[in-house]
Amino acid sequence: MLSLHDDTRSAPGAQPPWTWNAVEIVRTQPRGPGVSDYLMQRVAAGDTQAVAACVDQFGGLVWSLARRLLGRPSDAEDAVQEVFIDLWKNASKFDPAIASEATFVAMIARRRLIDRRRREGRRPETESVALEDVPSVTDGEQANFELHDEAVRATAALEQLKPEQQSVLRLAVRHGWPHQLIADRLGLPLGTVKTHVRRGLARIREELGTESGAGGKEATA
Amino acid sequence: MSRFLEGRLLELLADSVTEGLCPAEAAELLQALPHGCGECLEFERAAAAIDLALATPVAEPLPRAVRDRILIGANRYMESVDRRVAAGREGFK
Repeated sequence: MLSLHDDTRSAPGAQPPWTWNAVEIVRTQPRGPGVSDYLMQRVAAGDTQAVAACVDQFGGLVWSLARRLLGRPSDAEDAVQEVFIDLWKNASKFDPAIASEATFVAMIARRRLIDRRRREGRRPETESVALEDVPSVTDGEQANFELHDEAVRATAALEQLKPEQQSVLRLAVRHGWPHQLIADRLGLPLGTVKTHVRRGLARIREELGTESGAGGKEATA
Repeated sequence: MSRFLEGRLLELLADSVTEGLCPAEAAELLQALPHGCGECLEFERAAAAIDLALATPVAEPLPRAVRDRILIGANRYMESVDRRVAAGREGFK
């Protein structure tokens, strides 16, 4: 995030180091030495070229999350814009030692989308979701974005769970189904669904390690 | 922490990253985590990792019109930051 002591930005009244026309933000100064390779860190430093690159790199990921968790395209459109504002605000909290950028983006996006869905009483899209199949790590490797270390480790841990637990976690986490809906569709007691979700997440957390402030520095709110 | 409270804490953490919490539950979770919300972030990271692990082969692309609106919003945000930076500098004079 920009600070009051950040001298890389323009002085008050001076021409900013970048211009934009309608929708394209174009940096007018070249990246200097020591500029981070991480988009989030560049966004935090006020690099507007990184902003556009961030949208291009993670837009599909955030859009897919919004479509899955919110269902209606009009809701998803508004929510995706809110997610990216959250990303700009929280970019300085990204720590590559703790999480990949894709994981960081997914954390911020999921938080905003889950809050929004709960606030507005929306239900996720359920029609196209198969109840049984769980994609393998091989499927994930073909995704538009790189399969990062956390995802590989999560996949390995998921594969050690019973099929019923995998199905519950997939529906609860990936598709955002309410626990009661999962219980109804799978014919399981609600308590069993909650136990599968709780233990599954705890298992993945254990697999990923328990560094303090996972995914970013404290309180990526 | 008792086993009951630990179980309740884990339930709240799991609910927060899947279904979300109502205000009363969110307050209960914060009260149960006196040393900050590091565990919240660990659960959020676990859920995000599961999401990425189960990614479909081809993610749906971001519509062009939505991308354009995001960039317009980004520009407004950067400008507001610039204004706050400028105002802060004025305040130090």
